[in-house]
Amino acid sequence: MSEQVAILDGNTFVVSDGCGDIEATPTDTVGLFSFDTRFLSTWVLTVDGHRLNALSADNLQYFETRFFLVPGTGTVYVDAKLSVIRQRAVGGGFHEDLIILNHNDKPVSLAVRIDARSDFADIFEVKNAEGKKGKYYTSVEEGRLVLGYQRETFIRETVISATGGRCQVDEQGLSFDVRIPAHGRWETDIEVAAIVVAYHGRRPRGRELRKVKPKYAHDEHKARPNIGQSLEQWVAGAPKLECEDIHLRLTYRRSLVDLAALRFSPPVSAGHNLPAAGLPWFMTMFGRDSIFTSLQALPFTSELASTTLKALGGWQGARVDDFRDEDPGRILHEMRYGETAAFEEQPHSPYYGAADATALYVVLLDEYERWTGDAALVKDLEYEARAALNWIDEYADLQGNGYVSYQRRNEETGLENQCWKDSWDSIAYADGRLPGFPRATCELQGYAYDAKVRGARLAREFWNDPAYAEELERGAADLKKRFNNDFWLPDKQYFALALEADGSQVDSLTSNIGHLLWSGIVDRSKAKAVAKHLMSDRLFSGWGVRTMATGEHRYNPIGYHVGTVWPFDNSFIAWGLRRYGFAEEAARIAAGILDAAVFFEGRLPEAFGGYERELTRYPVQYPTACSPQAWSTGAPLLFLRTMLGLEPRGDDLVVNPKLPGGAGHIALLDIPGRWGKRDAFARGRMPLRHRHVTED
Amino acid sequence: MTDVIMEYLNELERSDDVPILRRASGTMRFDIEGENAIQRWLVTMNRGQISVKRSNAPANCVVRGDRAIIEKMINGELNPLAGMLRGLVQVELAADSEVLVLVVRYTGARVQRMRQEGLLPARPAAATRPKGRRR
Repeated sequence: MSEQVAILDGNTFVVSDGCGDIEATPTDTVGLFSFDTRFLSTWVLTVDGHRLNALSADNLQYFETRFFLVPGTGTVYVDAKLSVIRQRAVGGGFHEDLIILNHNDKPVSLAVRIDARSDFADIFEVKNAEGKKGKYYTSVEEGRLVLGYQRETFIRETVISATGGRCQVDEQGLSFDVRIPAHGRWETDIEVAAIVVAYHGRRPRGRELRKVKPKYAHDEHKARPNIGQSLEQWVAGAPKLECEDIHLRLTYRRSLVDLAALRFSPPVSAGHNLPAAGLPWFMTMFGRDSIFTSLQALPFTSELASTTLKALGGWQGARVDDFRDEDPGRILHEMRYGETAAFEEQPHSPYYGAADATALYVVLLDEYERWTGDAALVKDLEYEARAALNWIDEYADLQGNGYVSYQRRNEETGLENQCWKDSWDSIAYADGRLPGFPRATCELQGYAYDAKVRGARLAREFWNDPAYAEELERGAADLKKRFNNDFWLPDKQYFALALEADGSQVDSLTSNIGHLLWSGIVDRSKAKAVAKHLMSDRLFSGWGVRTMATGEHRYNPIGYHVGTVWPFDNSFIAWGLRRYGFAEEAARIAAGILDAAVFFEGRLPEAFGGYERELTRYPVQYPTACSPQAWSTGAPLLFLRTMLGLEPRGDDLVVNPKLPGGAGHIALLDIPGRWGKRDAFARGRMPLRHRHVTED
Repeated sequence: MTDVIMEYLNELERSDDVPILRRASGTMRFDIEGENAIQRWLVTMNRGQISVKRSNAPANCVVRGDRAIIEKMINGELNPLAGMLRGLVQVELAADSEVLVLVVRYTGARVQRMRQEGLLPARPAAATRPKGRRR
């Protein structure tokens, strides 16, 4: 199979083969997708009945690709006297310029054909391949091909038309009767519009058939992002990184560009842009991913954080709804727009089954204010923040023991593990047993503690409620005290991964203990032991900290959450180590992950194998559908913050750098914040004991 | 029989300074389709100050649907986003959708309160609803 090419605009994207063709099977992940629905499952170009061969496919911009094609079959093409150029721009469907050049001395006559079909599969069906409950229809109206799908009042249509080039439309596609003079050219513009037919089978006002257009027109190559700033403005507005290490510069630039592509303005999001979770399959609102990414990016841009806070606040849970695992005050997990969400066969309208996002919401609000000084937003979101803090005590304490735990109420389609390690076997005892529900994983307690501490600051300084501040502080102190007793494994000298309902300590050694340092819930007296475990051979691979330690029963270097190394996870662990004064350890982790980034041209994957660095010498990528992934993209930014020791203090930015040895000098210029703009300078002098240098 | 929609709109108008709506500014129109006519209600919000009146003036956001469907949404029997995606209600946005999102949340919170007060039937019990500690 030829290589897949993906381009996108908001939640509309195309995945095709290297020729630009789409030939989906029910479970294949190619097609034109919009609003979590596949609008084209077949889109195949032929010339005189033959498929074409790709010479090259170039992603010109994130929304635009150009395919250079020639006729001929097999590996040796015999007739290269024709060139076919297919240029595609995605947005509201896509626009495709089709150009054929005749390099021959004689005129040619060609039968050019595009076959088009759609299965209107929901994104969830693409992965599960279920039968459709509605009916398909096809028609030719006003010279346009209309592919449609209807189930009750739910209607989705793909409208295809061409201008120029003597086009004939039938119910299976478009045919062109092409004649090209010697050394001449022929071209046509094809428009494919994806329509969500809004109401009782009526197309929305202003979207009558003849007015339906994809976003980009013929010869339009300038990006029109749905989001405020263009890519150039976005990159130009970010702090400048100056350093000797060309790889670090590359990784930084890659992160900024990818974050720009991940900005997303979902429909019904109160018009805000926030980081989507990953391209292209997770181009939607995810509470946890958006919050973590906004936190990582705060020293570089505060826009993502403010919009994430407003959008997630707007959709905050208001009632008890078991199907959506919704409670008052709970922050959403995921929102989707496809058929299964529409008919409530999947709960994503939105789904609330995350046990961490709500506390993290308060953490982000406080951290945002510390950087920006935007008191107005903290006051605006007082109700939301209080409701989130209330959720922690009122709705999340399922075991009745004062800890946040989770157990889905939607047993059919809800999520079993509602923490970031959400695969089925991620929460396990050292001997491999899986604990029962409800489960109180340790990092959830850390987030809850941090939310209370930060919420207290907000209550005192912005909400004029010192009594509430004291109540939160008492609750935080009590939680910290109990936690350091109940979760601590005295024999093993680290914190249990979780407590199950009967109070048993789930005793695997995992990366979760690193998040505890970030949250500040760890007693000073226990921090050294935790740091030692994180940097031990069992957890630290040389590239980064594994999700689960070697030697545990379920450890697997390529197990999704039971042995792989996650850059996002490591960025928060390093921040946590720095918080407790383990600057050298933090720098080692930063150096390891940033070294790994070199192998991926600066674009860190979601996860890579937990193999010993000295064994493989390169990081083995974990196969995943999404790239870039938002919180992997944000990881290098947070590592920079941690290495430079950037910390807002009052109206000033404190810089306290601790770089890995051999890092040379680093300057980060124009760091935005309540101080205006500040520069940070650092020089890497710290010797590192075990730094494994990559061989060229 | 009580008029569910009128009760809802009356309550909305009396909801000055309800925390959920405190940051809402803008207009929203409900176009309620009856058998023979459409009733149009314009809700104007200005940082928590709310007025409701019969009007077909343009609004930042228009929600249109059959009377029965709107009633179901108000009573929490139809999820608003699902209703929108399914084409049971039509939503037209002329501007920022924040007002719409906040009114959806206000409506959900109202359902929760009315269930607690016994004014709406309680939600069906989930088979294995874990018992939370209620402080």
